[in-house]
Amino acid sequence: MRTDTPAPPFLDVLTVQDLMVGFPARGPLFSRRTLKAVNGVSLHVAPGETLGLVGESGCGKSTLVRTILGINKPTAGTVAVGGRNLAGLLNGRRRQERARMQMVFQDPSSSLDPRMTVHEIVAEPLRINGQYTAAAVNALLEQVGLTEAMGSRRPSEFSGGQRQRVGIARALALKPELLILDEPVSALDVSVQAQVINLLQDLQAGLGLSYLFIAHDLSVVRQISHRVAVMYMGRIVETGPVADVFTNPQHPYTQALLSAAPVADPSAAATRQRIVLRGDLPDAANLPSGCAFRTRCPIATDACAAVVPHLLPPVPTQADFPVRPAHQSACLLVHA
Amino acid sequence: MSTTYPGPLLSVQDLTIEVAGDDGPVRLVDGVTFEVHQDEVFALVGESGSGKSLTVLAIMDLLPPGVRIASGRILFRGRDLARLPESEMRRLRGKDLAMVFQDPMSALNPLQRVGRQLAEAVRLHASGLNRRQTADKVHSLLAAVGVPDPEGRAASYPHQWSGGMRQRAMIAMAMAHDPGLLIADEPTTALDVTVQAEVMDVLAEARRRAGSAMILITHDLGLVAEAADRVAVMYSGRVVETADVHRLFTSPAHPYTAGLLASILGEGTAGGRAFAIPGAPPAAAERPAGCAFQPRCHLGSGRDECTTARPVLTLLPTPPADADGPAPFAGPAAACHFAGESTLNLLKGQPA
Ligand SMILES: Nc1ncnc2c1ncn2[C@@H]1O[C@H](COP(=O)(O)OP(=O)(O)OP(=O)(O)O)[C@@H](O)[C@H]1O
Ligand SMILES: Nc1ncnc2c1ncn2[C@@H]1O[C@H](COP(=O)(O)OP(=O)(O)OP(=O)(O)O)[C@@H](O)[C@H]1O
Ligand code: SF4
Ligand code: SF4
Ligand SMILES: [Mg+2]
Ligand SMILES: [Mg+2]
Repeated sequence: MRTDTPAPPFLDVLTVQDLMVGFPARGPLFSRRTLKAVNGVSLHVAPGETLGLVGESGCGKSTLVRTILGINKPTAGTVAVGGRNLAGLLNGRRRQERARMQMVFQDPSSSLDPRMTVHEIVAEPLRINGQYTAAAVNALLEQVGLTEAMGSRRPSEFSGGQRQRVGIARALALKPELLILDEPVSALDVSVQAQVINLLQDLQAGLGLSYLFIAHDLSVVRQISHRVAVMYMGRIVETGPVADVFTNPQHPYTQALLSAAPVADPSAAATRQRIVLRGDLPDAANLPSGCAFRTRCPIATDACAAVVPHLLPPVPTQADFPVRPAHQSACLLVHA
Repeated sequence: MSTTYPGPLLSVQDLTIEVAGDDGPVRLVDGVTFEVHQDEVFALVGESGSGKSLTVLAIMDLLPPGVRIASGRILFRGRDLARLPESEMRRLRGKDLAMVFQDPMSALNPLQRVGRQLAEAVRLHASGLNRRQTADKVHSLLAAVGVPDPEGRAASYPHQWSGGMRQRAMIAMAMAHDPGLLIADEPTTALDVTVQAEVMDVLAEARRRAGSAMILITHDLGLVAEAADRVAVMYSGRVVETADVHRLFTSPAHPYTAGLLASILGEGTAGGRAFAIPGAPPAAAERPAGCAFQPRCHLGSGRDECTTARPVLTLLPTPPADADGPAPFAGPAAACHFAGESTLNLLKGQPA
């Protein structure tokens, strides 16, 4: 559990407010409707902080990231970098602000051009911005644990972990403040995963970087995150310091998620209590009324169909005092 | 459907897979040997790039162009698949031998309704069925893997299915003809763990019904611990250890296996530093003469055997308790000159 939480008074690197992203979808009989891929998401990332983002496949994580980076257009809501709302800026200026955020992808092999040498791959963003020097590229390679000599090779000559290092070096070229990492280690074996995560933590400590870290593997998220946000069907359903969310999950989806994470102990496997979710996954283009989780929620009541739950801090009780306001969840029964 | 064959269902023997390199052929898979038995789940784990996918693609006869089997045998119910004519292989593939890929999107045609694609798979090996019977079979396959409203769903396109649902469709397709062997290469990596758990349940249930064995490839050692009966660990194109799942997790014999297990993240490591095996694996073209793991091995540093002689997979002594139990298929084995030495001191000298 990370306890080195950064001091709060700094301006957040990234602030997302009430973001909505819709895609046109086909409804019954030629009718049209909107698939709300991101349905009112707010989040923030402080300097030097890692926010882990987990959730169902198809819940909108990648759409959220693409919208933050300006690839998708939001239907509503704002994205601010360093406190500055991107929508209000002129194009050139907006590009500059966006360069403060860089992306690292899941599959290092498909995101690196196989015909280029590693040196050229890392050099590319520098060249585009007229900042290229060979020394700068070599320094970047060294920063991620590669050598200058490796720069003359092509990605195919590298292992998966080394390729992911190249992807990170390239993302660091323009000295971003925030890295957005979408499943950066899920294609790697656990030892190489550990190497890459250690590297990311070293870089964070050395450069004061912030991370928005997306993964399905909860142990990876727990390892690297200060805070975590759990998404379900376009909304954040729980968020808080990683220790609180992992040891005291509030939302039934988070509880099911944590209970379903496999344990690397064959003798424990048989006795483990797993919350099994039954019921259908809702159609993203036709969300159920009220709480979107109610079709699978083991404790849903009639009220859950009527009201959309909002993120709220836990209700203070004698048992868990003091209240931890940063740990919020969106479930009617938690706050009943 | 499955005729009983007295030997192992699948026996891969000394399989070597090559690709042309600048200085002659490069061995991507180098003398891999393992057996898979009726009804068992056999996990193939290990280093990224160690040859797991190529090994199973060779079994399916789906190696990418330019990559070829240089030597070795792949005996499936006693028949050598590596020497089977393509026409016979086509008859086996999708029927008695089936595969579920990591990315269901790449295996499904985005422009065709899911039901139609499933119907093709069904008809491939059951050409006698008429339209109605085929559709019925498709719907019952989808229902069997827990797809709600199979008829409605079958009429929709892949992008209208969620990741977990698509993976169910792939499982339905793979199980269409009750295969003797199902190969699943990272079947749940793209899914969240609640859906992963459902998909693994669906897989187990489908396998039980058809009596299929499964080869499961995954980086998730938790999944291995929960689903596998036996495990083979690969490193740099070779199998370095094989054992039943309990033995592998409790007393790994090969230093690479021990390092891999020590790298598992957990509550204890969170926020601190994770253990990682130092260094990187050799490129396939630059594998050292002795043990491929030697440059990274704490046990093998400075030992001549390790730099000069390639360790071969050798049976490990089994404790007497095991000897009384059910006959192990092929006892635990490791490819290490010093497999007997404790690997626990591996953690010494590592930052906490
Ligand atoms: N360009 C698009 N047009 C229409 N629908 C889209 C588009 N992109 C995404 N979607 C839909 O939006 C929803 C969210 O998708 P997204 O890729 O953001 O999910 P995700 O959380 O990243 O999933 P995963 O974990 O599988 O990567 C899904 O229902 C998806 O089908
Ligand atoms: N078409 C190809 N041409 C040349 N080399 C290849 C080809 N396909 C794979 N390789 C190489 O063969 C080796 C084994 O690849 P394979 O895909 O089997 O690894 P893997 O164990 O499945 O790895 P991962 O865990 O990353 O999926 C890798 O070093 C890879 O780069
Ligand atoms: S609001 Fe109702 S349906 Fe939603 S998570 Fe809470 S109990 Fe379940
Ligand atoms: S053979 Fe030597 S180098 Fe290889 S794993 Fe065993 S001890 Fe280590
Ligand atoms: Mg995604
Ligand atoms: Mg693979």
